[in-house]
Amino acid sequence: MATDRRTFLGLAGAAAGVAALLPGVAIAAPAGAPLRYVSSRHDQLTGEYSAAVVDAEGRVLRSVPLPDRGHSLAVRPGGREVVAMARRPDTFAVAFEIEGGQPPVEFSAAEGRHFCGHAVFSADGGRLLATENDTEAGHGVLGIYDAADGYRRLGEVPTAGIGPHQLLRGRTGGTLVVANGGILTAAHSREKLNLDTMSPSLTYLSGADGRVRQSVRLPADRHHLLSIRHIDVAPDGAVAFGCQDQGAAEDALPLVGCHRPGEPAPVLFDTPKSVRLAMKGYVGSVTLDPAGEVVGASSPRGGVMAFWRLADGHFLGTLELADGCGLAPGAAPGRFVASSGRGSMVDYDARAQRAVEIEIEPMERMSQWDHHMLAVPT
Amino acid sequence: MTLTRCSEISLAAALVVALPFAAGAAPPDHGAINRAVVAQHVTPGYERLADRAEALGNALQSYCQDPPADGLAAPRDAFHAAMDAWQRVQHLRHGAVEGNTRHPRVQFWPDKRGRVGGHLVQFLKRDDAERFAPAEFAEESVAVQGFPALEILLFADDFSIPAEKAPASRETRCSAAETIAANIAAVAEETAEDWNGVAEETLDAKATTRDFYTDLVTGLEAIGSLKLLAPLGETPERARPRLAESWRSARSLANVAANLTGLEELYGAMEQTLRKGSEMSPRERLIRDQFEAARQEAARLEPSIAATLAADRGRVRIQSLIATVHQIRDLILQNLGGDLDMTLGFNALDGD
Repeated sequence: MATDRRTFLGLAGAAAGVAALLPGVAIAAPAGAPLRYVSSRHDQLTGEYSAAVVDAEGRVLRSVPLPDRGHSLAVRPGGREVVAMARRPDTFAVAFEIEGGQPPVEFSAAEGRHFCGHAVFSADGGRLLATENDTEAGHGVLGIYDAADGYRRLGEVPTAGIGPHQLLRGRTGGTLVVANGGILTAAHSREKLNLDTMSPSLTYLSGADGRVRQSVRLPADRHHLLSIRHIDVAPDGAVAFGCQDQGAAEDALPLVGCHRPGEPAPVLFDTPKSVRLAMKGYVGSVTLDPAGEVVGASSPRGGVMAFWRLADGHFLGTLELADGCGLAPGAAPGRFVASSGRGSMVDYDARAQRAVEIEIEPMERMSQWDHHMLAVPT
Repeated sequence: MTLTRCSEISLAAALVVALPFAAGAAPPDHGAINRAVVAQHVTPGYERLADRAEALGNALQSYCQDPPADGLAAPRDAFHAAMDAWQRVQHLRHGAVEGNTRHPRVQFWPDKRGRVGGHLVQFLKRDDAERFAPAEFAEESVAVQGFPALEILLFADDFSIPAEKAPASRETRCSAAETIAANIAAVAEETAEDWNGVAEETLDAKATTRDFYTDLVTGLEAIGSLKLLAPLGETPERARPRLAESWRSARSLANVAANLTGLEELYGAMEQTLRKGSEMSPRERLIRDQFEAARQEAARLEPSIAATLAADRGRVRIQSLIATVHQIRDLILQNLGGDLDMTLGFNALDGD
């Protein structure tokens, strides 16, 4: 698809009456405990993939089949609809209503594009923005889809980087935050082609026209091998991020840090060496607690999740959870809900360092929770 | 970290992290492990199933041609023998059994939406003789092709019911039952043949060991969660014995006993190769003792979960069996996974 900002702006204007990628003011998450969670999963017995809605008591409320393995999901503001995104480099997405009702809507990436596993809605819920790989040009784009029109693709803008992964809405002036992981892959493949030259970045795009407002990188030394993949955004706009180290995991670099928009460079949190080693160079998801004060990062490779105070990067502790990866904000400040590829869910208080297993109903225990679990605000 | 238990299911399983094989030790010989598993467990298991399904077909044929005085006793016995054979390999979900939807064709379970009964009635009502031809039958709904449909025919839909009260004539029901038995035998035979001709590179691959190891752990998990915990319900009043596998033939716990036999066979083939003929280690002795204890616990209970639940202390005994099986799973996760140089890792292996 030919891409330029005029095309995109024209479409956006025609669709919404305003020339803005992100019309509307960001809607703050309503107060109160999120009681439902969504995640992709894999049934170990049947081999089937699905997206599930599960409550805080471990009851599966809804399960929607997916054509293949999913990755993350996007919750539409208002909390009634969710889009499950394909795992990279697949090309499907499935939109479904949390309560059921309308049949799910499946849509695909454009020719020459594949999804990268993450997407986010515009603040007014009208558009879905998905990280995609332009396999011919070898760079990242955000595909823009009209949620009101069966997820028709409206256009795309560049992410100003290679291998984009997670994206979220920023907190100020309708920005978008994109983790450009920096790793080049070919069509239909996960093979890494540019490890010597990779240059991951954290990029802020204008929601109005898709232009780059700021792009920051870790130091160009050994740290250029830290692929920035996962992010979460605090109420004050600070961005917590987690990396995957493409160098030797034994180097035990810190993998989790934060960046405040406008500051010249991101910082990595001080992390005890035992934890750096335990994380095995791999972070699978990054999430803030409901207050936006505690950063959690999961390492399924190490079977460990680690937690820091966002304000000063103070290390709080770890939760051991074999193959644990999904991490969602919990019911109260400092709390998280963690999920694992072995089918378990845990309610964790990062400040008190207390874990309570959420008992999944027996018939659903053969499911493996995939990389990301998201809270659906009630 | 402090840990609060909120259920009878231990969080320990979720928390264990397998340690890699001891530093300095030689990496495990995955090729040798895979070959031992295939030779000692996989191929003989499917061959046993093929033989017993064939015997079941013969028993059905005799019964249908000339119903004996003891009614369905012989075909029911043959059903139990064939089901025992299947339950010994039921946990194998990778490799040859993945092709041609073989696994669900032998047994479509769990059947959360009650498809087997519905599809079977539709199948019986249809008026086309072609559907009993093996090639045609293999294309039918998987729900009618295997043990659960046969179980309904043999245990719920007694062939002696007069034709006008049954959804189909006795002849039709006999044809369906014989066709299902032949179908199971054919699937088992094809699966065994595929394993006999499997590529050397598959047998050499660490990924194949990972599949066997996943099947071992998943099999143990399925016993605890799906087969035992689900029918138990949260309280005695909320027990749901019809969620149990094979409740119609009243053999749910016989299935579990056969599962444990097969799973120990799989575990033993791996462990024996790892120790290269030397003495059993204390941990292998412990795990094998636990397998034996679990099998004995299962054998002491009524094979029917409903009957066990109705018996004195039945519920507690099932809970105790669940605990033993989960203990075996945890021991294997903590010990064998590291020695095989693998963790299960659905997310750990993902790379995103």
